[in-house]
Amino acid sequence: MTIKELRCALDSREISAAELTKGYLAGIAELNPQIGAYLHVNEELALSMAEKAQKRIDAGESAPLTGIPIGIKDLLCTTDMPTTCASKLLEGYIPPYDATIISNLRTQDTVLIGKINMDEFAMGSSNMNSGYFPVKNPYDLNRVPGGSSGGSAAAVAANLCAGALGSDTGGSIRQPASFCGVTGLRPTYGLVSRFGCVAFASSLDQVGPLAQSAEDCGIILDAIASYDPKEMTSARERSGRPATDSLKGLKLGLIEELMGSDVEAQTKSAVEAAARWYEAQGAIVERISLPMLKYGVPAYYLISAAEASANLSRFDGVRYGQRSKSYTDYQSIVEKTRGEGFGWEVKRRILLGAYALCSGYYDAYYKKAVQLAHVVREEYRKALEQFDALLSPVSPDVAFRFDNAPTDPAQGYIADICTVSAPLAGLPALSTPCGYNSEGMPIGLMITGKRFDDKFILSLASHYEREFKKIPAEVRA
Amino acid sequence: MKYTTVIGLEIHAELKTKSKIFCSCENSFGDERNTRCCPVCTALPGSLPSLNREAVEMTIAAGLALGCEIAPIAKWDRKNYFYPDLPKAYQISELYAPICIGGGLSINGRAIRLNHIHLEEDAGKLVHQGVKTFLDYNRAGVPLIEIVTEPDMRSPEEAAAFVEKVRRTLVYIGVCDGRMEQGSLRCDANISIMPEGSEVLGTRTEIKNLNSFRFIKSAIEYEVKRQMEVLGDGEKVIQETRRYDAQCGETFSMRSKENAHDYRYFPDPDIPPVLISREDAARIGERLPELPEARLERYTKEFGLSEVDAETILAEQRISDYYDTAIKLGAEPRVAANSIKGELMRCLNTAQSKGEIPVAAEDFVKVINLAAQGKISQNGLKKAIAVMFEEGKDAETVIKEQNLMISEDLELVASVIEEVLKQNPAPLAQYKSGDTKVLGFFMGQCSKVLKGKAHPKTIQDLLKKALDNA
Repeated sequence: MTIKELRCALDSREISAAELTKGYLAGIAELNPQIGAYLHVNEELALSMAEKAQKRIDAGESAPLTGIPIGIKDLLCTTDMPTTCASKLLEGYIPPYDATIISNLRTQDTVLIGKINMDEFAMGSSNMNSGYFPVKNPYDLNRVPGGSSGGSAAAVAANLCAGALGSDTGGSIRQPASFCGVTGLRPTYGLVSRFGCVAFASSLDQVGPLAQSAEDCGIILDAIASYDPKEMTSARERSGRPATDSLKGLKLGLIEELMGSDVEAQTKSAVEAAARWYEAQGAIVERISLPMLKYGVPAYYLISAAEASANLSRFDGVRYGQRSKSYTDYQSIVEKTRGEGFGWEVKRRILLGAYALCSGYYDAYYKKAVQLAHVVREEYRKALEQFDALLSPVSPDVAFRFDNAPTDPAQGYIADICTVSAPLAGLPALSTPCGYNSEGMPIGLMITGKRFDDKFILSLASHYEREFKKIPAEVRA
Repeated sequence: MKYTTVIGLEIHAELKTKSKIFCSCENSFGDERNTRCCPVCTALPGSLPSLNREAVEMTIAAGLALGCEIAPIAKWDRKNYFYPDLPKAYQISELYAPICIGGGLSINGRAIRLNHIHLEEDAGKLVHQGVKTFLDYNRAGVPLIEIVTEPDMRSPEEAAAFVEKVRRTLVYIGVCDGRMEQGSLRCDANISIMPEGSEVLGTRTEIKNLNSFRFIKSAIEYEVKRQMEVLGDGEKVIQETRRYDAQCGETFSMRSKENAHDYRYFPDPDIPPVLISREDAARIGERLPELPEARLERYTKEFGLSEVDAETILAEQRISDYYDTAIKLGAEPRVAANSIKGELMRCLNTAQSKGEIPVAAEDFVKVINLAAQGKISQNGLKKAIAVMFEEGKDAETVIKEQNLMISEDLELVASVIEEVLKQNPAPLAQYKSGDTKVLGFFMGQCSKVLKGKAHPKTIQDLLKKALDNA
């Protein structure tokens, strides 16, 4: 059931908030051992939130998410549950404060049903980099769910929550949404507070919803998006194009460079079919070339790694988290804690980022990457002057099998070609299911919009979703 | 060989904003350990900085007071290094686009140029107790400005005088309390020597963390001597960072250039650039109080004080402010200056008083004016100031209680004179014969009897009359 349907069921007392929560908890107990979507579920805590929500529903004062069980990616700070970023280094760490968006959810008496698995510190596109255990794709347990919000996408796909929060730095919401056949929105940079979201790459990180539908994503977005004076990059002015009732006359651009030979044929044809559907509804679909997108991947990986190298320096074992047991002095606390606590992908990116910032390399790497990001942003700006929104695949292919994971990290990075550029430009972008390949694996359509047009692109997806025949995942315990 | 000493300074001054630079924690000194911190200043995961406008405005004020250009756009960068007192393992500082550019001050007629002033955050503190080390993050995130000079100073005295002048300016404009003993103002000195007449700077060393004028002078003196000896032995000065040990008065190597940190500076993505309009800067400039240099000029040119007297009064802002208030209340500038640097400062020094001056300026002006009019004696004036200072009573009460008002009982004066003349026939005869020098003797005799109950002028007038009529 969608959040919208659950809202009706709760408000009409068809079901109580406790019953609803219990239902999801039972699903988690049954399926989480196979899927691995949750790192932490506190049944008692979830039920107490449900009871509190029920009082509000009984008083006829329910907000859109009152009593709705939402899964929380484990990089959002919560005072009543651990926040580990799926890292061994933060095992057992419980923050003394709530992230702003968690406070926002609490004011609606949302049921925070548990903390969700991810790639460690949000670095990865497969969820194989979790410090605890990998998440599996509900459509095929032998395949990855994508990443880094793979746990969030898998939990929604397997119906282990009504909706989930993820974070997207270079595609971490959209790519797993695509791999798991759900809808996921990366909001405009600055729309959703980052305060209390453990930073990976500050200029690119953005928290957003994953859910059964674009409409549900909109409901969650409304609940979490707010101007936050505690974050200097939070947008004060945030009005954009509203949802549209009609697709007639809208101009949509199909990004040429993301429909090339490196995109798998079934993915390409599913996206083309979706584009034709929009055309049939009266939209004007044209191909548009964004030649600078090819610089997106190197620019993204240099900038994000550089920022991460500084952002993750605070994990020194001095004030919080797991400290190495075998230290002799300050230097060895830092070295051993980080050496033992961080996984390989995190170490790789810290090294890459530190290298790109070293004196002598700064101009050649970091500075050049920033200049490229600027070029990409300009190209998007011009394209979105001509078009109302842009269409493309989310990923060159469907979810890969665990035994077929790229062994060369750079190969894995290249697969992010479709998703990394919207963050560089600060734009909102979403993934919505648009087909299934011959093996039944979901394919996602990406819609990218102008800054603050989040509601507009969600409505574009909603029109499509009403027609699209979704095939739910079937996971057997 | 004769050498020229070349000194450049980096002065770190903590700003006395209400809250810290990136969070709302109180900015205060000396509280119990780790009671002035929060998720932001201890760098808990997920926390973000939010720049304090007041800190930016105070930096602009400091820049304007020190003659800097205010940049239209200021940016913050991350300076990366691991140290236990630095919670984020990077310091938010300004490398590429500081708030204030250029500027300078003159020391004894020599111009000392500033390179720039930037705004950054202070680190926490390590507290060593025996073999254990504790961390105190109360200071982490206190706003700090770094005032960076060009290598323009040529002697330890000049460097110390420069720091003193900067300190006084910052204190006057109210952006820093200037308490070097508490570390709210400290500096690093870059020192090199070159053969006299040369224009090629020698290799420099940097001495870190000097926190008193005395240490600045003695550390630089030592370091110059050391460098001369190194060169004298035919060796080369190594570019390095050194530490000054005040106990033994020597400097020691901390790390060489080869081991210098690569701070991997890059723009902080959490802090968008801050635009500073000309109007904003002008508004801050208009609010600046009169600077010490302007006061000096006013005191010497307008009030006719000597430069030494003027500097004495200027040395402390509260005293200078007190002086200005006294003038506004109608005190004669030189008279007020004398009483301030005399009796009032003696009282302040004896009592080691640091706060507000306990004698109300109104009362101070009242007594010095009475003395100027001859209604109380100079000794009476000193007594009045001392008693008002110690007992906190107002001028009228003190004058009454201490019976300081010179009584102008002319009959009493006349009868005392008559008595004195009667008892001293010989000097009287002398006077009569034209020897007027004895006037002084009679004055002394009368004053002794009257014990300050009459003004000397009154006594003299009546005495002359009596002598002439005798």
